[in-house]
Amino acid sequence: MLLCSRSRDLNRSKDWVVIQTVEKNVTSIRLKIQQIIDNVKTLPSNDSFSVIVKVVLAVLLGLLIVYLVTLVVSENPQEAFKAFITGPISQPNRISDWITDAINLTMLGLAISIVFQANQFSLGAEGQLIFGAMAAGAVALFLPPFTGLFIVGLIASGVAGFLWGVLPGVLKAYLGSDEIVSTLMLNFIAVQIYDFLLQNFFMPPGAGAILSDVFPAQGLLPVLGGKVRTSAGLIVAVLAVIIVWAMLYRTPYGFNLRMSGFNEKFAQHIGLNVKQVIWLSMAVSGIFAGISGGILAMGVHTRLVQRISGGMAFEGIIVSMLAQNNPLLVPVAAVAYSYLRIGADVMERTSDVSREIVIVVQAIMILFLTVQALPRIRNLRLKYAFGRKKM
Amino acid sequence: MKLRDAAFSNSSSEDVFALKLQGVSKSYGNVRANRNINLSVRKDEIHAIVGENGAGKSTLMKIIYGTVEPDSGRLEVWGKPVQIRSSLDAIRLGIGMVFQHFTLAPNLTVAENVVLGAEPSRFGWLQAKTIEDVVNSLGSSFGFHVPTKALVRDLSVSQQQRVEILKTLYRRAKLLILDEPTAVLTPQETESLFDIIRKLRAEGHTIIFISHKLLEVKAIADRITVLRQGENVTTVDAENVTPADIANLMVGRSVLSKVTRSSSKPKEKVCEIKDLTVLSDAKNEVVKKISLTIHEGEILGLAGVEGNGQSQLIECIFGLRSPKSGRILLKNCDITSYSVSQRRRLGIAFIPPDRRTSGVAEQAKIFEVLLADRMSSPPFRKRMFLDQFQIGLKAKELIKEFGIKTSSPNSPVGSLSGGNIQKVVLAREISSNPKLLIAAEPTRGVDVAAAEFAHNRLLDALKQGLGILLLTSDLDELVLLANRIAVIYKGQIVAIEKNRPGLDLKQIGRYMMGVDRQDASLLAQQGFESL
Repeated sequence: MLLCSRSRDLNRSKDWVVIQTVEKNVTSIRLKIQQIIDNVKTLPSNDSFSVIVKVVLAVLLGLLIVYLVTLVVSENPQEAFKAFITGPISQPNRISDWITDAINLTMLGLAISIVFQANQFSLGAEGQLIFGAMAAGAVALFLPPFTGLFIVGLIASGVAGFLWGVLPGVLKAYLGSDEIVSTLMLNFIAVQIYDFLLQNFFMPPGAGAILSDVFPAQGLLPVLGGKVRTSAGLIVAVLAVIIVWAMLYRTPYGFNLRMSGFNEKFAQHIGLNVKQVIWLSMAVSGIFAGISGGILAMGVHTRLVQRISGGMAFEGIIVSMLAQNNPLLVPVAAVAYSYLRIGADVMERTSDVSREIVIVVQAIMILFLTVQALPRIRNLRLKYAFGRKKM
Repeated sequence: MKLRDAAFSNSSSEDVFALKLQGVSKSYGNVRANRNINLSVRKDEIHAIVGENGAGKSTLMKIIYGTVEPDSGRLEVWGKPVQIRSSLDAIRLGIGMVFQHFTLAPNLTVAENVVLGAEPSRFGWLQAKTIEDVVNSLGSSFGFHVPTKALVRDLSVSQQQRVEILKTLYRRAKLLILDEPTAVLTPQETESLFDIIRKLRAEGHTIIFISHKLLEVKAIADRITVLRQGENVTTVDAENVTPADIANLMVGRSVLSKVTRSSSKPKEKVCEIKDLTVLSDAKNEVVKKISLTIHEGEILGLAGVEGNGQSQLIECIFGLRSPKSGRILLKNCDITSYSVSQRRRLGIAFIPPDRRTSGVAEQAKIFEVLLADRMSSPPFRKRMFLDQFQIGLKAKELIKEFGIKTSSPNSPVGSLSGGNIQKVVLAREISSNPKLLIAAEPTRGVDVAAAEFAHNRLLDALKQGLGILLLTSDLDELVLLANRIAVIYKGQIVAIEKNRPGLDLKQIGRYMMGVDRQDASLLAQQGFESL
């Protein structure tokens, strides 16, 4: 304002040019600052604050019920509950387990958040994880060992996950198949292929158990840390969070994905190729699920084992829902959720209460979260009931 | 019943008001929908209530019909102070409501719909014959003819409206509230609705008529109450005011009710549609061999009763639907097989009729929706990333230029009012510098000021030499803006008229209803002839 009024008086003077440039700079700086403020405001806005409150409430309520149940079923409920609550941080190796679990849940949560933001209810992370693990195993076992082999393994697992995501994506986009059904069925197919290949190719002849050989050292993820240790998967996960966030919010590809997730009709009207967005979202999601399989094989099990995922991919759905599909909140949710998982593990090992108790907490959280997600699910059902409009 | 008898016993006196509101207020949170409203509706009058969107009309009606309880104020019906707590109370007091969106069961017959909820029965058994007789005699006593055995889903909109009116009459309503009843009707249908309304008045009914079409209000109403920003401005006798007076009262300032339409000279063709045939979702031919030409600097208006193929036609021109046969040329370039994004790049823009569902994504942020069609191209894309700075600059510029009322470009679009959402769509489509703009219902559901803004924006854009295909169900808007008017009926263009002063709207109405059509040779001449 001040500059404006002064500039009018100085209109003809030689200072005019200087003031004009200053003004221009000030305006652009002000705009930039405003933009930064706007961005900060929209990051974890008041809306996601209420989400966090809700999640915390859900966890507390779950813990309360766990406590009541242990009171009934356990000989020594105090001990058991203490193991559950403090277990994950009671010993360095348990902390390591916690971090490792959180890494995998982060990767899977990211994978799910991509498809959910595109409004595709793809549940294929399990199969993608298995294919990722298999690809990593193939690279580690069959390529001649060289330094950095594990990087090739990670890339291969990402590619494998991508390809196993293309399949249901194309089925959905161009043939109109239901992605929930097709991805679930493809998960079974992936498990069978994995088991078949494991027994016939990866398993060394004459082995007593269905396991592959341990990968050569070059094919394993480098170990980080000392007493509390984890694999280089930690770095991969941190990078993945940044990459997914930037992809969704800072690239045209992510923009198109989110717009078509918000409103498919709108996406068509602004000229997006919605079919492409659909299959590509499922495929790109597969990259992160696949890499998570690679981390499991090369960083956790150090070999290919049966049932390598342990149903973890479905935990990714809970993590993504907890984080409201926001890639920046995914690691937070993953850390919190894996704490509960490891806590239940410790409790099972040290007391007479089984680890299934964590399912109670899980159930209550899901109840809380689905109450919120209900309108979306209802829309989905309506969509199926009345058929989709031609795309 | 007791209440009702008491109410009617008094109605002999002349001074009695059918409805009287004193100091009625209602707030939703911080928004004061109604402030200290006083309204008195005389017995046996047609009382129009006019006001812009958001002026508080619908809240007021909900208060009268008992679906919303006022914070303060007194209601009197037939001279007795009452409290209306539910629509059942309202019905018991003889108040009937015809909503803008009908509340009929499409799979039941007309007769069943009329009696639904208050069926005449004998020992708990419904008797189809009795029901039909009752409804028939009710209809003929007011001079309506509705096919009582027909299913409601097979009726036209105006017939459905009559069923709604019959429903209220069957429940012995003496005070009828009609919410925007003419919004969906052709001129002829409106006229026959007005006959019914006048007949009802003659039979001793009182009618509250809500509308924003001022000519109609002037034509039908005895008195007019104007609402503005939740307050009643005044009540006037319809005889003593002109439509322009009412408009000024509504907006609170004088409105340019005339926009200046430039009389354009013959110019180049922007878009040519040749023998276009389009199928509906159900694979019926809903557009049959349509040919149209749109010129530079011209608005071609497309008139027609909803469901005559116009939506499929514009979807096809925009590329959302592929044609069965025929060609579409944009500046002599055949774009028939192009995708939406290719067409957008070549210069077609589209303001969709249902803006909330296809014009915007409500959860997306304003800046995202404003520039959604051009995010993937420079200057908004820098290599593989979005240039947040450029995007923010352009979005702020558009928000300012189009007067979109928002605290930040980062707010979700869903937080905007309907008028502002419409501005977002207008801003995006017009700022894409199209050659052909397809504007479908550009002012549906927005208030007078926003409609005026949109009209002026469209006319400004016209000066830059684009062609506009305007599809609207509001004939007044069509006459106000269009240079030529094409009428579509059952998937065919039945008439093309130049818009000139003294154009016979009734003739357009006859074309719209398929009663009349232009000679084929004249049509061909009108269609391809430049202005």
